Amino acid sequence: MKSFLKYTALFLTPVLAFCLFFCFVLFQSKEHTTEQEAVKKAMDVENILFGLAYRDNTGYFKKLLADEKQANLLILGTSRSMQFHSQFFTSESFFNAGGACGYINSFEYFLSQMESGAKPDTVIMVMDQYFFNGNWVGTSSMPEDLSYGQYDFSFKTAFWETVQGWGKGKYSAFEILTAPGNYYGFSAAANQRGFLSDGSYSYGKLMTNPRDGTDVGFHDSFDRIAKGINRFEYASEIYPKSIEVVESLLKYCSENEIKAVLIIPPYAPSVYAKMKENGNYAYLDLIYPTLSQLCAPYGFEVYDFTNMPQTSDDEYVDGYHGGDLVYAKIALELSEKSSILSGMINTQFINEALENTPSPLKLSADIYP
Amino acid sequence: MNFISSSFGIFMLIVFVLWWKTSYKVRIVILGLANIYFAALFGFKSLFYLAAIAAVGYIFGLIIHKTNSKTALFAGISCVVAPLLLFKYLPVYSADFSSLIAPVGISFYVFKSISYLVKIKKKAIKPQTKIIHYFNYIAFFPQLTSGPIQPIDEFLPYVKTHSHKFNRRLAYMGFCRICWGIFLKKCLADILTSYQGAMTQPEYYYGLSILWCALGYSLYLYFDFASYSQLSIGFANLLGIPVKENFISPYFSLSIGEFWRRWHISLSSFLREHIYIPLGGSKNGSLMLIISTLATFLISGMWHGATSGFILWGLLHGIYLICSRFTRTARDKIWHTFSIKKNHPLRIFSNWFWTLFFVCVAWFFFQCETLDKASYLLGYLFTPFDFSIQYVKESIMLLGFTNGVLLRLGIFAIAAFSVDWLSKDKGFGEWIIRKNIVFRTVFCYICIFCSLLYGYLGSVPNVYFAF
Repeated sequence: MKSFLKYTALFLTPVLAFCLFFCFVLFQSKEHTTEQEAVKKAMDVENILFGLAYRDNTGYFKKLLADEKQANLLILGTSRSMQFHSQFFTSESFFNAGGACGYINSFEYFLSQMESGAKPDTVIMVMDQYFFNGNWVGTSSMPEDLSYGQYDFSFKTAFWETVQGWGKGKYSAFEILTAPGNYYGFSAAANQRGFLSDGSYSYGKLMTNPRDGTDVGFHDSFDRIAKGINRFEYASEIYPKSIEVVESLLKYCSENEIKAVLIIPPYAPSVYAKMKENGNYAYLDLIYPTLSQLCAPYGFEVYDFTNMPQTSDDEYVDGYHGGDLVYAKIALELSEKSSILSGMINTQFINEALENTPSPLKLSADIYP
Repeated sequence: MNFISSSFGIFMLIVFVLWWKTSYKVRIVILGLANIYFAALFGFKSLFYLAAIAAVGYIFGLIIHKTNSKTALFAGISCVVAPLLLFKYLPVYSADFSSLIAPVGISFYVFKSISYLVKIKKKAIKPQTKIIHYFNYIAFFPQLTSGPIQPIDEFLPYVKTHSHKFNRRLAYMGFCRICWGIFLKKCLADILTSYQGAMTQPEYYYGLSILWCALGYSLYLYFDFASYSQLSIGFANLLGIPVKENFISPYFSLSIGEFWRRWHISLSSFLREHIYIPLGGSKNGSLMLIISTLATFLISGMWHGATSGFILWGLLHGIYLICSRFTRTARDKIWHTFSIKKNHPLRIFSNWFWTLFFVCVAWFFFQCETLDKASYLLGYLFTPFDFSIQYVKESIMLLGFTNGVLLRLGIFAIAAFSVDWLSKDKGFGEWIIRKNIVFRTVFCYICIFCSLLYGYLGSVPNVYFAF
């Protein structure tokens, strides 16, 4: 028995060494960084990159950081609002809380949860089209009880993902071990993906290697359109419950003296064309008039960027997520049209940045750490 | 407790050390406590039914031995089978009992009890006088949830003996089995089960996608159960208990009869011994052969589930076997007409192909569980196929496969079937133990590192857990 145990122990030694090495890699990635620690770093250091790979506490992180930043100009929305960078705006007091609002009713929730002194003067709210689609909202996508779920760091989950990610060639262990000190989290260390100190997002390596994306050639988006699923559900009318929620949101903003600008974000031109061709998305054309009607009594503004022919497909990360250039163009258009945002947009920076783009998805390197 | 988990690893290590480091009397108690602890992890109900059925089996064993009466045997079997029938079929026949969930492993320890009582009646064994021995047999933790159904006379001699010495050969065999079982489960079975979307929402897929799913299920079922069996036998081997192979390369069978001699061998043997032969078997004329074959497979199907899909699956196998038997001469003549002998590669290939084809057809109904679902899926399956490369590619990709996953699955499946091919004569255990230490070490490293790097994350219960 002794020799069996000795042999087994000897056999398992390399396996153990292998596992220990990846424990070290995981530790070096700082994936265990808590949201509170990340907020502190974001307030202390000019530009950090906070990108967790194995848990998602975006809402909670954004809420904590929004309270600390106490920004005058706030961006709210889903991941489709995260490319508005602070450099696009003249206001030094800026924060992008994009990614915190997964549902139409989470806008008001976010604002109401902010500490009273932290509420913004102006809010740009990016309203995804499917928020008004009953066939999407109806699938538990307007939960009654909202809360910012906090998932604790699970060593077990993160460890296995780390080992398997390496096995599948998703990252280089060397890159993790040599990542800059202001990168926090596995996604930040491995792919330079994560939130910057201003709350906006870096798509990291994907911006220079778009072929590594998950929706190359928009196959996934086209597939969703063909099936009418996963945020591309068919609908011909606006979901009445969503209108009620927006009414309440606008009322809340008005009561709290927050000026609101509502934006309907863009689809990649080919994807938009495919949706039109499909013919099952009549509700898209009804969103802008409906929102305009709701905003009019309060003097709030609405801008529809659903179709942006002035952008090209390669400026999109996937079928419905525009990159830096798309959002820079939106900001430029807003500078011309919006009276609420008048003087708040740094057109000089945007114009210069648009002239010197390193890739169709990426603006000036000054934005990124 | 999942076999492939750190908690089970620690549990097994403790049992292993205590088992080999303590005296006979203590060892028996340790095994009993380990069995109780393992069963209790599935809840008090599981432990209660296990204890109750063990007690009933033990008492009836003594009664049958004393009276040698058929009535006692019948009563004993009825008592142990009754809870199984109630748990399995009451929820199907009445919605009032839909919340009734069978205790984990009840089928397998009921089968063990039946086997024990019948052997006593046949005077093949003597009843156990100490209940702890009988309990250790019935509740043996590596076999509790899904078998194999090991006969008592192949188990207790290794547990009850005072001179139970560490068997290095068996321990190494067990270790290799565990590595192989982990590989089969993590790198093949659990991955394959993640790509079955077309079976639940066929309207979103191509007809051909359903075919890939059905084939994938046939592979999944085998890898999953073979993996469980390797792990179960491996853990028993570590404790010095040899267990017969439960799967010996079934997908290389050249006939349905051979398939059943290679697939879930312990259950097949149990059904043959306790249903097929008592009903007449093959020695009482053609009519009895047909009746006993159909009845055996009908019961097998009904045991898997009281739904039309399982029943049809069982009946299909019964029909396959009968047809195979009654057409043998005619088929031989046809081959003979073309001057093709028994060991001709074409004939071997044809036999293998058609056996696998019929087995997979039957698995389709097994997977569907009901005929309604089967006909619903068949409606989508038989939509016109477009035999272009693009169509075939899309039918696979729609299921969610990526090139990387397909490549890995392909390599792992080829590796698994290569091992199957090489071990098809005597089974995996005998094959691996005859290899030299370097080969075994490299083999185990490949299994472990592939599972670490490419295995499925998370825990999918073993498929026979449900039965």
